[in-house]
Amino acid sequence: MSDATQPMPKQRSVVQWGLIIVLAALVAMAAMPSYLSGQWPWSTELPVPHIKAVRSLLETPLEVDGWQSIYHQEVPIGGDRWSLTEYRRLGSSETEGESFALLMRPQRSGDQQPEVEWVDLRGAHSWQVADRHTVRFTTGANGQAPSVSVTTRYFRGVSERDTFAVMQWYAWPTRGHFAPGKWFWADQLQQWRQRERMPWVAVSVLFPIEPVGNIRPHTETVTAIAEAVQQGLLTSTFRGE
Amino acid sequence: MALSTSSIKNRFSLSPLSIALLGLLAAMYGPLLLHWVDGWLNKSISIQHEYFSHGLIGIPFAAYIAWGLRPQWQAQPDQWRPTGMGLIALASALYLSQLPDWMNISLPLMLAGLCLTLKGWPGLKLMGFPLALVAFATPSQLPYLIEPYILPLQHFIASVAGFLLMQAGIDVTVDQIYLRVNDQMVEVAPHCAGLKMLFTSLYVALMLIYWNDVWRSRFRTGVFLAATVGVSVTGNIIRNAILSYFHGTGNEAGFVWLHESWGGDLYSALMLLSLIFILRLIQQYVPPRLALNIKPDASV
Repeated sequence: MSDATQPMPKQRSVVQWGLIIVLAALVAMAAMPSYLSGQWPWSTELPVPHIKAVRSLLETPLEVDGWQSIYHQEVPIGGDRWSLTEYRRLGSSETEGESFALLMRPQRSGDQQPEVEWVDLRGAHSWQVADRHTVRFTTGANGQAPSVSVTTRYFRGVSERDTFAVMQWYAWPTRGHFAPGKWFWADQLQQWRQRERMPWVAVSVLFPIEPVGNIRPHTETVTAIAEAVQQGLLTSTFRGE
Repeated sequence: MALSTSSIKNRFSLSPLSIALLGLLAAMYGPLLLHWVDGWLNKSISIQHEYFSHGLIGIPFAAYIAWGLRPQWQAQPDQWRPTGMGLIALASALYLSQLPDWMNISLPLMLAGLCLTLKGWPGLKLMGFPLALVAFATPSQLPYLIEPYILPLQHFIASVAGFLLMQAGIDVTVDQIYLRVNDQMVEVAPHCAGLKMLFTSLYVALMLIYWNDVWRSRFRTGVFLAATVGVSVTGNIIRNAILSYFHGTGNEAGFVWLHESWGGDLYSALMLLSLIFILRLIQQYVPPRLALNIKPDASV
């Protein structure tokens, strides 16, 4: 209410004419081309780069540096399609080598957004969750991929059968974070800048530990695995078609 | 009597400039509104978009109110505000972005900007209610951003629904947001937790408050909104309990009927109807204001 109110004669029509010019310019610039072509912004979806490569994670296991995939299958969880892959450390013996399981839900189309993946996974495994905290890491830059920072949620999941150290995050080409909101704003930025969407993959690393054990001594190992997984996504999936 | 006829004419006819403005607005936003309606009727856009389907009644209602407010609007002195220009510039930028999410948001901003530019703050205040109806019916990604934070509500609904089923003698276990009956699992998802129903109930409550002039009493408005939230949450607890019961006892037809068929719509409609009765009760029994009759000279 600070600016002074001075009803001026003829001001009304000047303001109205100004508004009409502004709106007419908007119609001419943005609406008219759509009327003529019949193509409205909402009738076509923005492209999702690398979507084919992302989707193919359901069929082909991701290559993780230093690890060898020994099992791969598509599994239904929470009404969605997930890829389950098991890895064994390269060069270790078949019986007592270190291993981990990788559960990934790749985006399959532009209208899919990260939502409640972590709740779905927890429900599907009936995990008792303990010691949940965040773990951050940064992937090393190499010739093929830039360095990106990743923030994960890390916890112990105990079910009736096994105990896992679990590390989860959503991976996308420029970053990684467990909160869907972070992806959302990265996606919006990408829409404004590049007129394309931000592809994403929900990643969950399951590292088996001793029954009802402590996850803290394993943080370094699991983080190294997570880093290798993110690096694998950056160098293959998020560079593919 | 010539004077009064001309004033009536002035009051009820629109100037050519106003008609031109409305025409341009229709050209800009008409197709967008059609797209919204199509999405709401055919559920063809996204779950986020569906959250705002109350716009099907809200936006026509807003237009009706705004149309009825024309005499008061024309009686307002013309004045314009730089803030209004700012809003119009922002709305234009969002419209030009051609990104559907942001083009949606450009509509309420543009309307508010026009009110401010033509009639200043009094104009915006006059049109405040219809503008709020349009703003709250504008599809945005807000539900998507809220969903991660309503886990406690989901947990609460699952627990109470589990408790109710247990009272009915049904063997049920509650794990976080999951209800297990006979080894069949029902997840109280964000959508099912009644976030949409809560939004719709509050929106309908807002319309009822305006329609019945309840807004004049802040106390009654508060009581009614609190009752609305209560009814919506309670309704969803009962609905989720019934759903788990159907799912657990293998009554798939019942589950589908209440979950996605017209049973769900009927349930929602009954809940919304109950709001009208609650409002009647409030108007009858709740005083317009909380007046504590404390006599200052009363001796203790």
